[in-house]
Amino acid sequence: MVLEQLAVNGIIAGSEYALLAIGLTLIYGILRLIHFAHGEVAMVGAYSAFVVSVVFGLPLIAGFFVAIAAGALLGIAVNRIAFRPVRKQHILIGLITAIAVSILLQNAIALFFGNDIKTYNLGAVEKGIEVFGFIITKTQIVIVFTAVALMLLTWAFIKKTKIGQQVRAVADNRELAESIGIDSEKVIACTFAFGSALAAAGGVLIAAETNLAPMMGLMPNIKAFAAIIVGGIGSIPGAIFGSYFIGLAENIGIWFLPSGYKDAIAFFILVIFLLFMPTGIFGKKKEGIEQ
Amino acid sequence: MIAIELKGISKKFGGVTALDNVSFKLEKGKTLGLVGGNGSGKTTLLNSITKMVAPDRGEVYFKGKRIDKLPAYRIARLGIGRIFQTGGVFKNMTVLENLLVASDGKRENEAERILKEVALLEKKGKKAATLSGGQQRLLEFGRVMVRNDELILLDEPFAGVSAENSRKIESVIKKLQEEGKTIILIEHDSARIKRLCNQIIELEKGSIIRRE
Repeated sequence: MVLEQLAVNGIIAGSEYALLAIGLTLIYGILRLIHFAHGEVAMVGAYSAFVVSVVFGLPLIAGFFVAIAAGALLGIAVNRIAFRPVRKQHILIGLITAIAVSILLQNAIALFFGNDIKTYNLGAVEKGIEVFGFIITKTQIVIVFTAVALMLLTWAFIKKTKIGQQVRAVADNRELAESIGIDSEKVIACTFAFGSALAAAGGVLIAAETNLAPMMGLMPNIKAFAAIIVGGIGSIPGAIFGSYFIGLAENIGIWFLPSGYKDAIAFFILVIFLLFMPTGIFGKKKEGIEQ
Repeated sequence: MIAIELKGISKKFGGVTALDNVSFKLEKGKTLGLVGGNGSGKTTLLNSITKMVAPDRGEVYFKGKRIDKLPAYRIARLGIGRIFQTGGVFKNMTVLENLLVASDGKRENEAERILKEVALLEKKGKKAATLSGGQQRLLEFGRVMVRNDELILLDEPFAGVSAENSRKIESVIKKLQEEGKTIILIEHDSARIKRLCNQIIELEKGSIIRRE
C-alpha cells in the first residue's frame, strides 16, 4: 500500500510539473530557447495569489485567477523587455538572459516579501481523506483536477483556436509563417502569455500544497526541464508524459532509496536521457537546437 | 494597371553582389518569366519583394503603394503569395491545416474545395511532411488559392517534380492566369517559359542582361 501511496504522490507532483513543462516546451518550440526563468514566473504567480488571498483576505480561488493574469502579463513583459532585444543573437545569449531574469525576479520578490517562508493560511494542517485506500488531501485532489483541466485547455488552445494554429505554424517554420501574413512577434508574445499563465497557475498549486519562498520556482522548473527532455523537447504530449514520469520516478524511487535522494532521481534521469536518448520519447530526431 | 514595380533594387551579401540596380514593371494579370543561371539573383529578387531579405537600396511598389519598408507579414497580407523552392509547407501540420492557417477565417469546406482542385483532398488528414515534393508544391498552390493572392511568386515550382505533378502544376498556373493573377515565375525550361510567360527577364550576377 505504501508503494501505491507513493504513486499517488507522484501523480500530484507530475501534475504540478506538467503546468510548467507545457510552457517551457511551447517557448522552446517557437524560439529554441530554454526559459530558465519560467520557474520564477510560477513563483511570481504564487506571490500574486498570496497578495490577493492573504494581504487582501479574498478567497484563494480569486488569487488563482489573478495569478493567471499576472503570469500572462509577466510573460509578455519578459519576452518584450528581455528576450526580444536579443532574439537575433546567439542562442547562448538568450540562455544567459533567462538566467538573469530568473535572478532578477527572485531578488525582486525577496525585496518586497522577504526571504522567509510564507503560506496561504489554508487553515490547520489538512487531514487526508481515504480514496480507494489512498490518503489524499482535498488540496491535492484540487491540484490534480485543476492541472488536468488546464492541460485540456492547452489542447483546445493549440488545436482548435486560430492563434493556437499560428503558434504551431511559427514553431514549424517562422519564415514561412510570416510569408503567409502571420505576425510572428505577436504569436511569440501570445505563447509567452499562455505558457506563463499556466506556470503561474502551477506556482499557486505548488504553494498551496507546500509554501512560498523566492526560490520556490527553481526546483520545479528543473524538474519540468527534465520532463521535457524525457518526453521529447518541443512536444506537448511529451511534456505531460515526462512530467508524470519524473513525478512518479522520484516518488516511487524513494521506496528503494533514502528520501534525501528524491531530487537526485530527476537529475539522474535527466542525465541518462541527455546521454542516451536526447530526443526523448516523443521527440523527432531531426529537431535540434538551431544555432 | 501596374501590379508590381521595382526601382533600382540592389543587394549585397558580404562583398558579393546579389542584385545590382534591378528595375522592372509588371502589369496586373501578366506573367513574368525570370531566368538566369544559379546565383544570378533570381531568388534574392523574390526575397526582396517579400522582404525575406531587405534590399540595401531601391524601392518596391505593389499596386502603386510602396511596400519595401513594411515587415514581411504585412507585405503578405497585401495579397502577395509565394511558392518556395524548398521548405514551403508546415511539415508538422496536416494538409488541411496548412490551408486553414493561411486562410483568413475561411471555412473548412472552402479549404476542402481548393484541396480538390489541387488533387490533394484524399490527403487532407495527413501530415504535410508525408507528401511527395510535387504534392507539397501543389499544397503551396492551394495556399495561394485559399489566400486569394493577387501577385504570386513562383520559385522553380517544377524542380524535382514528377511528370504527372508537373502537368497538374502547369494546369493550376494556367487557371490562376485565367483568374487574372499576376505571376513571377523562376524557371529553367525555356519551352515552358515561352508557354506560360508574357514577359521575360534574364539575370546575370544580379543585373538584368535581357528583356523580352
